[in-house]
Amino acid sequence: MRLLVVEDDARAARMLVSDMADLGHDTVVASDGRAALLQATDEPFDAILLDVMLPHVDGIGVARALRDRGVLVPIVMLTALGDLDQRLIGLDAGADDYLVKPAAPVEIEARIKAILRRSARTNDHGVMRAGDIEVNEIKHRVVRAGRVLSLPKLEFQMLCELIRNKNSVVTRQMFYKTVWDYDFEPATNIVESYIRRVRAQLCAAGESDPIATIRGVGYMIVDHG
Amino acid sequence: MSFRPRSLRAIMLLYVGVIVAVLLAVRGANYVIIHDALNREVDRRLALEAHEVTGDAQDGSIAAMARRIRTKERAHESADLMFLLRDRAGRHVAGDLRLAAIPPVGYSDFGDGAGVDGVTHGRAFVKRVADGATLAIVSDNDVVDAFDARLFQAQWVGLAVASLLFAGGAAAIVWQVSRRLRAMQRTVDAVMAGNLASRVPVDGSRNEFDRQAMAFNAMLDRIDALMANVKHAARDVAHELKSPLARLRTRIAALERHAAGTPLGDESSAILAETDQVLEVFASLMRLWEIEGGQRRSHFVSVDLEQLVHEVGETLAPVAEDAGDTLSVQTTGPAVLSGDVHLLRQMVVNLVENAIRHTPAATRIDVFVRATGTAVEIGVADDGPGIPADAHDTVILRFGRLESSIDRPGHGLGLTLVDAIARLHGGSLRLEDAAPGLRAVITLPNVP
Repeated sequence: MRLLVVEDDARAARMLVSDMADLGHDTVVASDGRAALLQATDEPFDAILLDVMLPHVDGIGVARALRDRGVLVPIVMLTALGDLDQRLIGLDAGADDYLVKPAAPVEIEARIKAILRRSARTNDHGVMRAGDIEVNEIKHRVVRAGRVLSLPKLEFQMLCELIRNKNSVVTRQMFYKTVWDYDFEPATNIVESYIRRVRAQLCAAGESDPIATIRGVGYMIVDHG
Repeated sequence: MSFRPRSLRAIMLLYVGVIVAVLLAVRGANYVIIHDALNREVDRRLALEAHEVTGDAQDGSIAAMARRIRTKERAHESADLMFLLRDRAGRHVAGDLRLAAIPPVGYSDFGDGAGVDGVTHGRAFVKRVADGATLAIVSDNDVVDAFDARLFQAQWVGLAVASLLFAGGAAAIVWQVSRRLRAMQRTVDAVMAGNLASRVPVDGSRNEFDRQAMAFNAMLDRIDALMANVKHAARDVAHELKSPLARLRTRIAALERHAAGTPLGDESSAILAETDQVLEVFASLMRLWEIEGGQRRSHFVSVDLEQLVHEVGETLAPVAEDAGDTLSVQTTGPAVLSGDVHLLRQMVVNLVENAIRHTPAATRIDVFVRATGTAVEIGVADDGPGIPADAHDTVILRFGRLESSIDRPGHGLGLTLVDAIARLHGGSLRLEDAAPGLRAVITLPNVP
């Protein structure tokens, strides 16, 4: 992916660039809001990592200006802890997601991919597929290899999250945020308990386990098709 | 053993006591001296009169004395005196004084009992004169006694007024000093209770109390600033460490994936778990600072705790089941209050997780919500091993953990966070013995 990193702290910017390079992404750095606006309107990027506290135009201003100009590139805000106000204002201004600094590189990558999936899916009628699994988000229906499964609400939401992001990792943090609306990480492994239940349902007829565990990061459904 | 008064009240009481005692002594001495001087003056006069009656050696006959007595009884300046002269045989020779019995020789006092007409209190002087005759002179002391009584009264009144003034002054000083001290005590109590912004009131008079209050306030300002510095330093350190730790974790996670199935696999899994624990501490600390900062109060909305607790119960039931425990939720109806829904959710999750993590398998965990008119109680009770009562406060403290749980997962911040969230909502967390087990109860004021 080609990313625009907007960060005025040179050290933090350098670290983000190297982290993203490790994951195989190209990055361009803009060190203030004005430069970010110019670059984001001139060149195509897959996503923007946007710091909130910036000279000239702050992150919220950048997000708002970009959306006003019709630039729909995914924006992930990077905020300091405690900036709950700014997080909410940022999302209102058009940012797609936020992460508290410092965020783990895989988490950043997973969030960007999730945003890209979300925007790519807008033409569906709530139906998503991965391999032999088909879910209908609106009708709350899961079918695997022609067998209709009955998944409780939370397990169903987890499966939807996995299929929506098929072939990329869904982190624990992402599950907590999208399924439970938790802005903290619980001490017990709630996600693991639920994944076990989703797997039990999916593999009840002896099928192979479609959910891969990415140790230390999260879970993924791989769709070879 | 010596008595040393310590309290201001005792010092003032002692001071007033000493002053009154000294006043009493001075006034008493004063009275005694004047009283004696008066009596001596009366005696001196009686002696003088007696001398005038007995006359010089050349005319000391009884007849001459009787003559002089009669002269004196007619004279104006000795109208308050009465005379009596008796011869050797006790026969009346001269004088108006009638007495049942002659008082003893020398000076003596007499009262009503002496039966002297018109004299209630008197002083008598009896003297043997020539030829075995006896001369008695009596002075009517009513005027002197009246003066003496007034003098006595005046001393008492003076003493009473002075004592009242001293006692009143002392009470005023005690009240004034105590008032300022109480104001300072209130501030100290408030600071101890966590309200670091509390200051001693200053009235601007720049008197010694004001100056002390200002010095005290300046000290509190300084402590405040130092604490802010420490907090900032801790935050900076945590923040600086979190970045490299997050990167470290990413690399360890990658290493673990590559090492899976090799001899290094288990080791790297353990390292990853340890790193996650450190990161968890950082996340909890930062969360704690965020809560203690109080800014989240601006995001309070109406929250139904009954619904929230059912939600959390539903979420954690599978986790409890995996741990072999049973989780049940009991509520009595809607329990709506104003709060931060994310924090309240974290509070309940932390409490239930605490019960799941720190009890053996097959523990029964009951979550309940009770709404009364003024408060909402949220409780989590288990029938596990519990916590000794004397350790209840310790486990709520930051990093406060039981000796027996050091080898178990957890970082000692779970209940601290719960307590901080309860406090942010104006409530409190208390731990109780559920006999058997532990019951954690949060009481939140019910102000929707």
